[in-house]
Formats: sequence, structure tokens, C-alpha cells
Amino acid sequence: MLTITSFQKKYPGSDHPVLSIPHFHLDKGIYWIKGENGSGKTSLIKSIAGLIPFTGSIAIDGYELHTNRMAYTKRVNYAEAEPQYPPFLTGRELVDFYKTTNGGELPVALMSSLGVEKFLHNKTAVYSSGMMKKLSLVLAFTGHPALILLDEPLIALDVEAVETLQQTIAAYYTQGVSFIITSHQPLSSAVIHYDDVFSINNQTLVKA
Amino acid sequence: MRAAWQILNKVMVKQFYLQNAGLFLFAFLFLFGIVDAGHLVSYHLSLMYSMISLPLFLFIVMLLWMLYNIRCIAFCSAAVQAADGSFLYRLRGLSITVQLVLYLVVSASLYLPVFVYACVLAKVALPIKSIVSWQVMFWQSMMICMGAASLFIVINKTSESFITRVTAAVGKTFRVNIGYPAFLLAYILHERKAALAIVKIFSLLMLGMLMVRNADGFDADLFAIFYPLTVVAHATLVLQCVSFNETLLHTNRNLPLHWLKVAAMYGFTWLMILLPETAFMFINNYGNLPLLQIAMESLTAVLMLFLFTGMALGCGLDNERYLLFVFMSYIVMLILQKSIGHVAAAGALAALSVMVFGSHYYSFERERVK
Repeated sequence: MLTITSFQKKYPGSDHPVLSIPHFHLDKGIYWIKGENGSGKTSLIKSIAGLIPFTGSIAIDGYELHTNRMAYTKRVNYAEAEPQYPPFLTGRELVDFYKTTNGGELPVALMSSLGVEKFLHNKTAVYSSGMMKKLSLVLAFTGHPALILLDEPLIALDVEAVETLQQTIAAYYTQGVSFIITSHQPLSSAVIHYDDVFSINNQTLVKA
Repeated sequence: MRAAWQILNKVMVKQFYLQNAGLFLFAFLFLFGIVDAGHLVSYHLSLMYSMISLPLFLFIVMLLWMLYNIRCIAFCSAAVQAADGSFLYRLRGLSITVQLVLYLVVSASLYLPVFVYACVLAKVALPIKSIVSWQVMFWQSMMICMGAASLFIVINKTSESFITRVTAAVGKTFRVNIGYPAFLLAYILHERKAALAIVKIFSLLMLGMLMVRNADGFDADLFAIFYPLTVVAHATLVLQCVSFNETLLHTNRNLPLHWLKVAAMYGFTWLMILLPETAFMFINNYGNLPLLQIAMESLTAVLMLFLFTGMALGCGLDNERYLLFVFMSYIVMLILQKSIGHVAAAGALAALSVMVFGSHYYSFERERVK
């Protein structure tokens, strides 16, 4: 499903890579990446999402990011750790934009169980961090992704929302969607079974 | 208090001057760059005598000072309300007197360039028309106090004001659905109103001088030099838009959105933003410029802003490098238009701007703060 080759991530103006992964392959599954603060979890996940530049190659189902960006980004969705959206846009406008661009359907069940529909008509300027997080999760589940990247998915969520999210992950997994989750704490093992756990040590990804 | 001032100085004063470096550069060019050094003092004195003798002129100048002050206030409010500025609410813990002194210093520091010019004006006006001198100094003090008071209100506010609630209700009633092509336009109209107003006043005043005031003795060479300056004045809006797109909309890079579609959004925004200048040139032409040339100048202006967009991405939103590139583009464009003609220069600009944007869009990464 996901193949990473000769991957290096350097920050602008720096010669030293913060992350270096010679070769890495993941089959369909749910994976947890853990690591200390500043170890490079978010940089890795942002690189896979196509948000920041890197050298090397990342491919999903054979579609490489640099050479086939449109097909690649259709297959991978991403939810930020602490999402922020333009304050003058409503949640509805963002959802519509993601739906049109991703060319897929909205996760209606998730929207209703997270209670997102109630505040979609408001501008994001009045959203709390929990509402922002719920909106970002809805956007991440929009379309037909093969892989969903969740960066610190538990931040700002209430207990009910965490439960809903875990059940949604389990349900999507049975439909063939893979997940890479970075967080300090694991999701509930009663609902989610991780296929593997990784950590970032000495600027590279290793099995934990 | 010293520690609090150091933080406010870093977060507000330094950032304000950095982010508005383009605007200051143009103001500087406008005030000191359009006459030769030998006539600089007499030029400014005649400007000041006009302000002293013509109440309408003084009123317009005061209005401009107020707009600058609104820009300062808007910047400070945004800095406090931004997610990474929320720690500034802790200043509430200081006593009211200490807070007011701090905010007065911040407001005076931001307002300093205008204040210095106004002091010179007041000094010149004192022996001629002392009432103007007092008016100017009173206005200046009002502006600085207004800045301090606004900062105090923003940091100490505990609930939504009546005005905020009324504006929200009106906005909800008359809301137009915003689609992707209009995201940047909406950003400018909602979040960068003051910058837009200042740029437009500068640009339309400049066009007014070139095309209306000098309609009888229209100088095409002078127009060729100064019209691109009005376009360059928009560079600050370009930088703010790219910064916005790469901050609050950066997750769009995770969407199957081709760079040409992103480029089209930028192009549409610049076309709409430059509409007032285009309309002004068509309306106030007085037969001095062929209509086709006006259309060509407008197209070149859109292309220049598009080139600035690519440059902002290329230099990782680094202010200094961006300004340098903008200045260089202005010079190169002047040389190109003079040497190969307007149409060929526009063609070269189109090819270059698309190339710069296309090559930098996916490799963009914000420069880390040094």
C-alpha cells in the first residue's frame, strides 16, 4: 500500500536531514507511530500527505507523489494535530470545497455522530478547538481515500468523540482503508487493533 | 514591565515594521524618491505649506494618518487574537496603569514615522498658522491614545461587544457562499481591509496625478515609470495572500488540486484587485493612451502580481528576499518594456511568471524563523 524509498527531509537552510528513511513498506492496516516531541513524526506525516517537500519517493498503491500527484493525493487524506481554518469561511463552505475537490462523498454517519452538522453554518472564527478538530476529521474522511493520516487525533476531543472516532476507524478499516496514526497515547485496544507500532529513533523509522 | 515591553516589541513593533516593509519603502519612494536631492527640502516645504494653507489638503492628510493608525490597530488586534499570540492575554494580569503605559509605548512606536513628519509640519506651521500646528499635535496625540486604548480593549475584553454581535447577525443574513476561486479575495476583503485601502489610495492618487492632473501635458515616459509603481505597491497584498494560503489553507496541498488551478485562483484574485486601476485608466484616459495599450498595461499588471506570487513562494515568504525580487522585477520590466516593447515584454512576463510559479509551488516550504 505505502512505499517509501530513499526518503530524506531537511529543513530550509539546513544541510542535515531531520529524517532519513532508506526503504520502508506498509501493507494495508492500522499503524501507530510514536516518538518524543520534536522527533519528526509530524514532518514524516506531512511529507506523506504531500504538504512539505522532501527528497526521495513516496508511493501509494503504485502512484508516486512527485510524478503522479493528482492520483496520489486522491488516495491519501490528512487530519492535522491542531487544525486552523480561515475565520471568514463557514464549515459548510470548507466541506463543500473538499467534497468537490476530492470527488467523493461526505462521511455522513461520522458528521452526525460527531454533531458537526449543528455548527457547519457558522464561520470557523467562532469554533472551539474541539469543533475545529471534529471538522478536520470530517474533511479527512471525505472522498475515497486508501490511506488516512491522523496526527494526534485525540487532541481536543471529548470522550464521546474519541469513541466515535475509534469506531469510525474500525469501520473504515473493514472497508479497506488504512490508517497511520501519530500520537503519544494509543487508541483503545478494545476497538482498534494496530498491525504494527513504529517509533522514530536517530532520525529514522524503526519498529517499536 | 521591561520583560512585557520586550515581548510586545518583538511580537508587535518589530513584526509590524517587517510585514509592512514594502509599504514603508513605497511611502519613502513617494516622499523622497520622486524629486532630486537638491530640491528635496523645497519640495517638502511646499507640500507642508499646502497643508497649512489648504484645509481640504490637511484634512486628506489627516485622513491618511488615520488610515495608517487603523492599520496599526488592526495589526495589534490580529496579533493578540492569533493562536500563537493568545499568550498576550496574560497581560491582563498587570495593573491598568502599567498596561496603559505599555500600550502607549507600543502605539507610539508603531506610529513613529507619521509622528516625526507631523512634528516637523507642526514646527513649520507654528509661526504661520498656529491653530494648524495645535490641530496637528492634537490629532497625533489622539491617534497614539486611540492605538493604546484599542490594544487595552482587545486584551481585556471578556465578552462579545454589541457591535460584534450586530455585525455577525447582519453578516449571517446577507451572506454569499464563498467558493474556492474567491477564497483569497474574501481574505483580502475580510482580513486585510486596511492594507487594501492604503494600497488603493496610493495607487489611485498616483494614477490621478499621472492621468488627470497632467492630462494636458501627459508624459508617456513618466507614465511608463510610475504606473508600474502602483502595481508594485500591491506586492504587500501578494505576500499576505500567499502567507494566508500557506498557513490557513496549507492542507489544500493534500487535495488533488492541480497547481494550474491554484494559479488560476491567484490570477483571478489579482484581476479583481486591479479592476479599480483598470477602470480608472479607461474612464480618465482623455485620449492620451490608446485603449489597446490600457488593456495591455492592465494585463501586464496582473502578470506582474502573478510573478510576485511565484517569487513569494520561491523565497519561502522571507520578507527581505521577496522585497529584493520585487524591486528587481520592477527595474527589469522597465528595461524590457523600453527595449522590446510592451507586447513582447508582456509575453516574456507571462512565460516567466508561469514558470516561476510552477517550479516553486510544490517545493515551497516556509523559511524557519532565524
